[in-house]
Amino acid sequence: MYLSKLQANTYSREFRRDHADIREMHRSVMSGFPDLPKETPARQSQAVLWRLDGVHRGFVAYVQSSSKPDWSRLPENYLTEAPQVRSLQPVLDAIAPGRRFAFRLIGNPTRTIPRAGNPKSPEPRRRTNSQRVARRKPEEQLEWLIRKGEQHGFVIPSAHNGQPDVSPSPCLTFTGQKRPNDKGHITLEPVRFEGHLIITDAVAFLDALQKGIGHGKAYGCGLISLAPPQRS
Amino acid sequence: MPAYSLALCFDAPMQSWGTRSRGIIRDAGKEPSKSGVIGVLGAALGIPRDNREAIARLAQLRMAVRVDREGILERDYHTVQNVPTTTGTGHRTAVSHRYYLADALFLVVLEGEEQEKLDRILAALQKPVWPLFLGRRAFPPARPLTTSGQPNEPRTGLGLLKQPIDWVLANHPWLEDRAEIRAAERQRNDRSPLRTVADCAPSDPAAETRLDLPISFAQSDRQFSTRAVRTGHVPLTDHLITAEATSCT
Repeated sequence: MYLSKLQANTYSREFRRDHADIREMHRSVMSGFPDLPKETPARQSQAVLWRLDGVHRGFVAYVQSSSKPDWSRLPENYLTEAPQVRSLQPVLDAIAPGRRFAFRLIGNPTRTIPRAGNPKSPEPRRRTNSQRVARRKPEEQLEWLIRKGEQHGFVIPSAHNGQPDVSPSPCLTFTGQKRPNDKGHITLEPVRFEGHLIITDAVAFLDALQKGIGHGKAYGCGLISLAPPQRS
Repeated sequence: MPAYSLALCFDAPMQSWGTRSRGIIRDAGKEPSKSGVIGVLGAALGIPRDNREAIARLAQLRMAVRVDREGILERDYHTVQNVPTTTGTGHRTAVSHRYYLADALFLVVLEGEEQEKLDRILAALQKPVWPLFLGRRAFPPARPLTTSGQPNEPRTGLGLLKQPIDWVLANHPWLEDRAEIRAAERQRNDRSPLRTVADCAPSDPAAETRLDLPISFAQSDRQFSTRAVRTGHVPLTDHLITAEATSCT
């Protein structure tokens, strides 16, 4: 596994375009990987996950992938520094049950509800009769994260105040413009989780680390970043 | 009927063009809304917020926006005091989240068939009755919306043109005023196009709806209706980059 750090140039016209349209951002991220035949799901086959972090001045994109990316196809002036690519092997080697890590994750906490029918306009037949809606309350967002932990082999420890040691903070809504042949606009209301986790099941957690968790993985959600735990 | 267009430059460190806000989360769209632009024209002309007839006449103008520089969406918060509680028995302090676009730059074009009407708007924008601001009172424009015809003035909207909206979108000089960005784009041959959003017929297959056609701006009785828009692109040609802003006809 590889992790790339891309320092974006906020004055780049292409970065501005990508920042305004999550579909374009996805395309720019995928330009670091070879073109594949149309039938192959490009993102999954390279296990690409990414996250855009707002930093003191500007933005940094972190991209994780199973193969080594080549960022030479990014538009001119897209970055302010040469891309940094390094192996994630030391992190993967450190995964063991009981280990405690500080983590950062942009998750897309959603729940599925029956699709609201509109009697006035007969809609074309849909594949499913349900739709995903964002969870907006912090306690629902935490509940989502804890459930994901049960599925993916980690738990959130308690902090001094007895609450889970993680803080959910809302991100700006991500939107993607509809293009011909697309089903519709994309709207995501992701949440940034920052805190600590303890690994319970190394196999399940490794799998989640590599494949990401939750929905919206093509659009900057689901990448778990780990760091040594903060001393308290 | 000949078509006349009014080309305006919307540039400011911060702009906010919300169309869905209700309550404490004040959203911002990625380009000026029709209600926002009509509001700017209304302020220039001195039209009261509840003058529905005058607002309806302005809203008849066809509008298109060309995104000359995408803004970056940011969020700020304000505390609001003395918000009545829902039980009606007291007041509380509320925190509101306010989204805005940082560093955005737009070409806004309004098209109509009556030259005098657009002339009157142009004159008002140059000598507005009430101050002009781009979406919120705290967001004044960074440069004049239209050219005054003086030599050596900054790049801005060309004002009244005897051309239809599509021609203006494709031919109006690029408003970008950062010399290094202009120079970098001039040397490239794989330039990204400029995004456009234009009023269209509701029957257009690519039409999307926006709930931002103003009916009334009255403080306690804001009303909006829907309009149809279509999004598109125009190429950023050498001509758009090098064309110097020349005064209007």
